[in-house]
Amino acid sequence: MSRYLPSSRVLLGVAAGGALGGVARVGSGLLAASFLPDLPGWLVLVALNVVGSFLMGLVVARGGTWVSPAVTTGVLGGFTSFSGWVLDVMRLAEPAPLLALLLLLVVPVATVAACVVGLVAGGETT
Amino acid sequence: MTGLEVDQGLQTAVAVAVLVVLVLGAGAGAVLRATVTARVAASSSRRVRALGSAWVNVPASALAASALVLQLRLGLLPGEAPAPLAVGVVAVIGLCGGFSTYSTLALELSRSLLGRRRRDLVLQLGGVAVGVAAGLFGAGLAGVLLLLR
Repeated sequence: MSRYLPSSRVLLGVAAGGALGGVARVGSGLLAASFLPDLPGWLVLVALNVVGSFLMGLVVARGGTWVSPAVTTGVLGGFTSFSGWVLDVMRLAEPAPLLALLLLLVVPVATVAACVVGLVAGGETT
Repeated sequence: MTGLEVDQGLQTAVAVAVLVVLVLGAGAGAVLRATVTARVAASSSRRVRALGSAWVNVPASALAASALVLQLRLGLLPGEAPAPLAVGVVAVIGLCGGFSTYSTLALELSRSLLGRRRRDLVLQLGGVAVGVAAGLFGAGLAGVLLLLR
């Protein structure tokens, strides 16, 4: 195996973490749909992306044993989704173009702000 | 067993299959992403390392958009289309969901912002824009394929 590839142990951890994060993302969507049926699906993904970005900042800033590829790349990477966001923007483009544009502009700002808050809350200053 | 019970059993099986392929797809997508980002992280260039999270989303965005358009236009929805085909499309969308990510992208953007690395920030935001454009391109490509069919 190339020295640039992660070890099989790391890949296994990332796979398990990614599956767990994916289940949490899909499960959160299903839970939101059953308890809050009027809540649009795109809003749920926005919330998940913001929460995931906050947790990423917090976990990375806190350091220690939590910062492993299984948690960051796997769980938090799988919990958030870029392609889901793009699909939501595309789905909204025809029926609600202004909302799609708002979603396009607000999500990057909101996720970065959430990550910065997480980093600062975790004690990272630079 | 009545026809209604068979129908309900089939629907449950399809729903379970959809969940399983979503989970497996997310795990497989995360492994692919980790492999790609590990190669990027091994780069000696700091700039290349900073850009990995932004640009890794581009192919996933295009593929997910194509799969979604084909799913909607061809009616490949679970419970409506033949189960293997419908579940296969869900697997592709699940794979793209696991491959693409927002949290690591937000982390890289935050670090560029806090570290006042303007050039990195511009290139990363460029990656976000290309990711969105890739989604539109993927959807357009799927539309063209449907027209040529």
